[in-house]
Amino acid sequence: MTNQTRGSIIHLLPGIICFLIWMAAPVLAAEISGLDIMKKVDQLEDGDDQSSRAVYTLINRRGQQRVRNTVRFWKDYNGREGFDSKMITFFESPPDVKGTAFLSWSYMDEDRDDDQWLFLPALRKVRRIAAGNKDDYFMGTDFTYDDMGDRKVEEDTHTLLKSEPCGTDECYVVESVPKRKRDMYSKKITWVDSKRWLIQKVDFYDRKGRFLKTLTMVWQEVKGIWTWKRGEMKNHLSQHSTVIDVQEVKVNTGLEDRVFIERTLKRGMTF
Amino acid sequence: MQKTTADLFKGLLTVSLLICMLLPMADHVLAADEAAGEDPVETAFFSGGAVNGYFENQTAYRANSPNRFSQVRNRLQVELRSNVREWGRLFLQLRGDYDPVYDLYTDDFPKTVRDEYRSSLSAENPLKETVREIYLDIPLDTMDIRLGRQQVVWGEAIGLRITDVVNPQDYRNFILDDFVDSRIPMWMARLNYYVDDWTLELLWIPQFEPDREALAGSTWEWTFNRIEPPAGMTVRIFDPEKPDANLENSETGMRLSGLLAGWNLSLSYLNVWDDMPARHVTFNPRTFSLDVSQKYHRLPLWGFTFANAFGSFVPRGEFSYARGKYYSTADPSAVEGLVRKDYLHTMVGTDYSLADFLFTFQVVQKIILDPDEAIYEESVQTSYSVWIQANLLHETLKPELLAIFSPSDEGWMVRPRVAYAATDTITLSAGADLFSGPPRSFFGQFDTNDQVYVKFKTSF
Repeated sequence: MTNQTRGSIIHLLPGIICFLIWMAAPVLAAEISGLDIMKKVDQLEDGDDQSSRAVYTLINRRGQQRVRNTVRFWKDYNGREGFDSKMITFFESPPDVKGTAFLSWSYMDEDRDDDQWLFLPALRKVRRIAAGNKDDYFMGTDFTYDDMGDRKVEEDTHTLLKSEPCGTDECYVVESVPKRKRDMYSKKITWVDSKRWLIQKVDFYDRKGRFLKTLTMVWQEVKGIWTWKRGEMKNHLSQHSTVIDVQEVKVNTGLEDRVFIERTLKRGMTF
Repeated sequence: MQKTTADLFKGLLTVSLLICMLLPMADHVLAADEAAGEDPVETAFFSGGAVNGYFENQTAYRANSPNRFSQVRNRLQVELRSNVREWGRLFLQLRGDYDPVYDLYTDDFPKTVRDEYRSSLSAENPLKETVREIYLDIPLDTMDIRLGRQQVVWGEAIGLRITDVVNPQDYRNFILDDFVDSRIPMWMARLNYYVDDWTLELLWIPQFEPDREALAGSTWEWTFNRIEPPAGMTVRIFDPEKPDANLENSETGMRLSGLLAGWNLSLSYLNVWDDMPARHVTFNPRTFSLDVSQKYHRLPLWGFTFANAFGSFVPRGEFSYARGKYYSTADPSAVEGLVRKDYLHTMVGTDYSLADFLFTFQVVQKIILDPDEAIYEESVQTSYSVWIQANLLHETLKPELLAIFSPSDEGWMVRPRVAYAATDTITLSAGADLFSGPPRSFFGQFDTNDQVYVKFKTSF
């Protein structure tokens, strides 16, 4: 090997190394599957209980805003007495819905519907309500119940497409196709932070394959638990969007069982 | 006027005494912070006050002759809430109404109607009209106590009162107002005791208050049950006689409600007075008239309700059994034209959710047990109702349709309505109230009272 040849190889070495790494990247990534990634996202620690204040800002195509203020309490039951979790939400504004409260009990048995009750101050009555279809939109926002985190990992087929930089992090890009043909989305593309397993962005495609919505998320860490700080869902077809700002997050405060009962619906946050 | 002021005074006195009796229990009260493990904080006597309310204008126009405005009701309602120290919460609801229709069409209404319907201040008892609810909540560890003028809401039925009969009803606007607006709040002491998923509710109502019927000569005066005298004879109807306000005449009630194997269930018992007076008819040979004296009678009521959710369906049911109601009868051997019969009032129905739509179907029956053909009222009254509500355009547009059909008397009512939330605080609505049926039917009596309306509401 001549010095000239050796010199050329030395010059090319960084490029060769980069090329080999680039070639190996899919192989490395292939070590983890799309399903593994979405399971890790699903298994993120969310604590024993959480409370937070959420401000929903609904923005129409003309830029007009509507604001809903809520306070939410959630408790993980981890299968105790058959419960998965319980959640109660109080509406503080706008004025005509102030005092409305929503209670939901979800069960470990996946075939069992959630039990749900609604207290409407206009009726002064607690009413049993049907467990909403997961495709229904929540409170007139651009989020469905599924989008809010109710969807189970097993309901979709997940494929890792690639990994790419997202902001300062590296993200796995996962395509999720519903197993159920009648689902409202034909597919979702999710960007998952490869270090903390936090969803950074989701693109939603409707049944006809049209690019429907984009969700972008900002996270905050409270006592070692990652929770939403801000979520923005933009509907590209209707040009309507919803921003959720989550504030005053508290985790593991020891919320008692008596918070999640019908009595609290009527009494409000005086527990 | 003096009597009603005295009633109010008695109510206030009752509440004051009860508060004095209960104050020593305040040590056991759960402060809001206790659940979070924090020490109670010394607070001012009143703190954490909040004011809410709305202003509303509802303008209705008659679709039948005479074509004119039937209602231009302006309503201001203000609600105040405040913590009382760390042991209680005070609620006050004030309301003022003004309807210029009774100034515009003075020839169409007698003076009694104009005064009573024009405004809260011109009514017989302005204080009672304006201070609708005032009560004190005292939350304890395993129970809640509510003292004062209040509403009790029971039952599962929509737009119908079967076990929801603790409070009397204001029928001045027929059944067109929401129940929360047409229930007449009453002075009472109410205790809810909680054990696991069950609640035992006890009520004590020191003084009976009847339904408020639409006045003679007003738009919604009931005519379907009018007494028709034999030819050549007149009818003299005397004002109803309310039972004396004393302990013996007070009303009591209890209800056990809770959750059993996924079912919301309740059992209730009310030892109350019938909110509608019985008509005691006697022949007066001196005046050659039928004299109708209206008296109230005790009417014990047992109730049972259920509800559950199965997928998109929420079946509901409600039953009440009343013992010994007085019915008017044509039987000449009946004393004062009345017989006593038990009755059963039932409702079964379901909600069904489909995307942005909610459908509510109900079948209602009122059955007089051991019926007597001479009784004027139908022994079996059946009605079907459908209520369709939609939540569209991000819950800003809410069309709905309520239809009730009663095959027993062939009367029906249909109420289409659409509400649009223009902003977070302003709602605009438009709708119609349509009636049909024979004149002697519940809805048919208002066959010529069809109306369309628009409503503006701003909340704060």
